[in-house]
Amino acid sequence: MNDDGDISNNDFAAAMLLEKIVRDAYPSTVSSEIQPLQWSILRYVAQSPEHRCTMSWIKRFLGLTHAPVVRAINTLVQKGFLAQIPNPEDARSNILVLTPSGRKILDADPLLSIVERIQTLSNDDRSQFRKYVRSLAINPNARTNDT
Amino acid sequence: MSTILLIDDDPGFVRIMKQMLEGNGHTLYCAEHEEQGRKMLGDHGDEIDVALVDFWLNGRSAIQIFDHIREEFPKMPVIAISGGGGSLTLEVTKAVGEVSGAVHFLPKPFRHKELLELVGRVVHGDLKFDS
Repeated sequence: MNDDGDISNNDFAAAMLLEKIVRDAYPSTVSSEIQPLQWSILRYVAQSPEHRCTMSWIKRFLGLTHAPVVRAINTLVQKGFLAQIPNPEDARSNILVLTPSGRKILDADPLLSIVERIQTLSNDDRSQFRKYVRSLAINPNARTNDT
Repeated sequence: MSTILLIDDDPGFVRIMKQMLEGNGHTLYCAEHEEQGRKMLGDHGDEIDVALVDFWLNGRSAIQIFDHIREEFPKMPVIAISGGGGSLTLEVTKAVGEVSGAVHFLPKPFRHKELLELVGRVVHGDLKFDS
């Protein structure tokens, strides 16, 4: 935003490019079957120890309420990417585990195509890119705070 | 055994970590805020094998201390820890910690065994930041 409070065309163009890069990552037939929230859940289960792969941990990690997480998990279970097994430490909850299909589908994670793009940058540019992305991520209200 | 710097503003958590890590033979330096953390790094940086840094220190993100460690002690591995409570989800906190140089993100609460194993892996170089 410039001094008059108008949105800069250049910044708008940069935002559009960001959106396009992310949108381009999701067009393939395989990955489009899975929604972004569902991908987040698959990644979480893949990277977390089993005792943290419970519904309550996933809700907490993603900062979401019960309903959307239950819907997403049910869909992933129905599609055969996740399975629920009894939690040996808590009879009231289940542990979510990746099925062989779930592990395989992660090879088609849309983020991997963005990672490939990032890796085409020089080391210095990657380092700068990480800093810029971090600044954007930790200051989501920049538009309202900007003067 | 390793020398560990813990930067965390929760005295109760620090007390538990102290008992657990020292009880397992590690040497622990503790700091409750960023400034104290910088001082510890200045005084003991060369001895420290791994830093455990709470992502939220006194309500502010700890990214400046992450950057300081990256710049001044580029070989020192950092483990980001967080119980949430800031303005970011744990998912975003993990990603921000990792782009800031953390070799691993550990959400609180965690199991003692989990931390001890993680410290061992980090100190042995199994987890590294891809600069």
